Amino acid sequence: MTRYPDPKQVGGDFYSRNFAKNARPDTLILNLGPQHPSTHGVLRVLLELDGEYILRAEPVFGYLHRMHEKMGETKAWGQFMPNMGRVDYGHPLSWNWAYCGAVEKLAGIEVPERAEVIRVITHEMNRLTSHLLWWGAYILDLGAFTPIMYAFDDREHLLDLLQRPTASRLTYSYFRFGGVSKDLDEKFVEGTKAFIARFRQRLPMYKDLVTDNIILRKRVEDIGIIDQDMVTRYGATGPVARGAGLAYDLRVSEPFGVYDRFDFKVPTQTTCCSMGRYLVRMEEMEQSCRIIEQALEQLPGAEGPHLVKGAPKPQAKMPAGEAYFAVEGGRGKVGVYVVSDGSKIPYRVKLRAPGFSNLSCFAEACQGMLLADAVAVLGSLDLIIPEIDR
Amino acid sequence: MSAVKDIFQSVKDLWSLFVGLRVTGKYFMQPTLTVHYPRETVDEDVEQTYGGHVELVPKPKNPLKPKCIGCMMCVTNCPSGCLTVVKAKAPKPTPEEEQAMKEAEARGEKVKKPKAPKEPAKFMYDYSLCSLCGTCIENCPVGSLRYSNNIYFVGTSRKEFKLDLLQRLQRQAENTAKAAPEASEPEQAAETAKSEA
Amino acid sequence: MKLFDNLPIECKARADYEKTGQEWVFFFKPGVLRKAVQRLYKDGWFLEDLLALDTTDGMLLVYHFDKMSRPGRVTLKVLTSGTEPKIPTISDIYQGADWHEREVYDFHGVVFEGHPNLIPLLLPAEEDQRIEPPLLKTDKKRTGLKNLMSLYETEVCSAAVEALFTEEPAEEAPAEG
Repeated sequence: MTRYPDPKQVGGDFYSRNFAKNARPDTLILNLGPQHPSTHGVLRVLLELDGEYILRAEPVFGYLHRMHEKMGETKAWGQFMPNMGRVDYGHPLSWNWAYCGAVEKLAGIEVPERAEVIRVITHEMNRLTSHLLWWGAYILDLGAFTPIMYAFDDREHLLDLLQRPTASRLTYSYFRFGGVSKDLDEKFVEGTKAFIARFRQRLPMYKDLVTDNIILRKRVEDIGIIDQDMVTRYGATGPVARGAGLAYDLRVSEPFGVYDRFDFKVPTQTTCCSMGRYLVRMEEMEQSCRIIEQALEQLPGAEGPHLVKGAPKPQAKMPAGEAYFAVEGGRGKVGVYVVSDGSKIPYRVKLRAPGFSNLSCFAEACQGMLLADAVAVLGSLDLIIPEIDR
Repeated sequence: MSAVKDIFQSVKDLWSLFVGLRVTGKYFMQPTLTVHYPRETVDEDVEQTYGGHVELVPKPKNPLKPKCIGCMMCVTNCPSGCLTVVKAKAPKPTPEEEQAMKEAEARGEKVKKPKAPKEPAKFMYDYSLCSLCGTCIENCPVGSLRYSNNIYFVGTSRKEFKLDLLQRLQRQAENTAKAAPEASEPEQAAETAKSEA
Repeated sequence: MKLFDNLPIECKARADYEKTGQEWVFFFKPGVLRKAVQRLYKDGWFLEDLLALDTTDGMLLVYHFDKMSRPGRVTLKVLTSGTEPKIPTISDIYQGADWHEREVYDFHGVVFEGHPNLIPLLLPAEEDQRIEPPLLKTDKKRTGLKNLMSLYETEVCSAAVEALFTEEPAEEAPAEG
């Protein structure tokens, strides 16, 4: 039997050749991406196919690699801040917070109460935009065009509100060491309250339009099983872990900021499948609304300025030491580990991207699955490639 | 029993499609939400709060001059290195002044040299490099920088994003003067300049 | 934290979670690492990330582990040679470590012995396009461990590790986390 593809004849790049080495003789090797519209950017997945079934998969990435960690070692502490908005365009404020939190820990900077509440409000609003983006894009991946328009309608409202304090619409660089760069104004508060009221009515509509739809259910139920053992072995967090029944949410289990003040639920699903992760995210949007409502109530009573007095300048020196800070981003645990040698430039900045660990589950989860389902599973992991590549 | 259940389930599943159709039908009847640029533009409120590229803030009394004192804080703190500020040089002394200086030097007195004015001679800004983080705005000691709300800024080449902010400020002031000659109040002029930008 | 009892621990220290985000810090010899990681896996910890730190004392590998059921973070630190860093892989215990190790191989050139697929992850992979590990420090910038972190409150500590963190006659105060 002639071996197809013959490793000697296989063209392609290093990864194709490397992948083909272990291929069975009667299988087909297929590149999904990097320009495939459903890989959300430039993820490439090498697949070994037996007919329509996936035998082996290997995600290949790095096409969007910008070496943020190296940039961290060449810029001053405060000057690295804008990079944090660009690591993950979906939920940039979580990265803002993780980096600020790590440096605040390192330097022992107190954050005023008002700043903490503002952080919670904007962070949760950003989570809503992140989940709405995911929701629209995921359904688009599955072939339904309409929902993304509904999602972007709501998302635009949120962006219009968020641009008031942050002055950006996508890549926020809003948090500062010891607070946030601008206070919330009255119009923001009113607008957010109005939005939450509106969004509460939109969520049931989303359910009617998409979640209950039998075509979607048949498409995503019982595929891409990621169970608790896999979650532990791969270090997957966020909705992937919660979709496997683990109620692991840093906002509750390792409270940061003032999250311990708010009353909200950590939604979990025990089905471990794509639908489980979908439902977790939909439920999370409702919970985010609850947090924002409570935080807005607390905002007038929160003391202090929006930025602590004597907050470090961008070029300030930080004391030597190490600090790790993690926050719950839209995709899971966003961690930043900083090491300082006491100078004004970080010695090492390590970014722990949740998507990185979540995507590493994929190769195992998609074994024996149909090719068409691979797209549905990739989408349910909520991939943001810039964050994985960093 | 299970057959009945199956039929019931199938009907329910089928019904979910009609529920979805009802939602889209309902929204189909509603007015369009998207903004058809250039026939329409975004809400004024959104435009006013939009953080476009950085621009200079004019002095309240003289809309032609920026508040900038040429301290270079923005340049040193900018993470992307997109600002270039050239400080104004000291004016060349007139022959009489030069003579006086020389005499003073001969007498062994302290020479009084003309000081450089505290203003920029050149304020170049490369929007294509800017990451819009606001570091320059926050670190300006006199509040001479702000976000413009130039939401429809487009260009066909990279050159068009290299802006001379001083020139832009003057153009703005001229436009304001043309548009509202009766607006003699400088604050008002500055205000309209902002909205026109 | 009795998880590593009767393992040859180089150093066991309790860190201040409020200040460093870590609860326990352990130093291990490269040979013991796999045993320690196996115990963590059995106890339900998951790997958050792993990174390398280029210092004058050698290449420090830092493994962060966290548990889903309770807050707190365990950091394993392993010091290897700075010129030819080598360390056993843990990617067969924690499959998630596979990519993290490849990333460290990319960025710092650390070789993970026994790794099934140690090829570049984020940086150019073609043989003729590969670049030097970009996160290695220049000799001028590289500094010792004692300037970067403190030893915290040690419970057990070998003389070798302690020597890394002790100052030569009072130059500057030990780094405080």
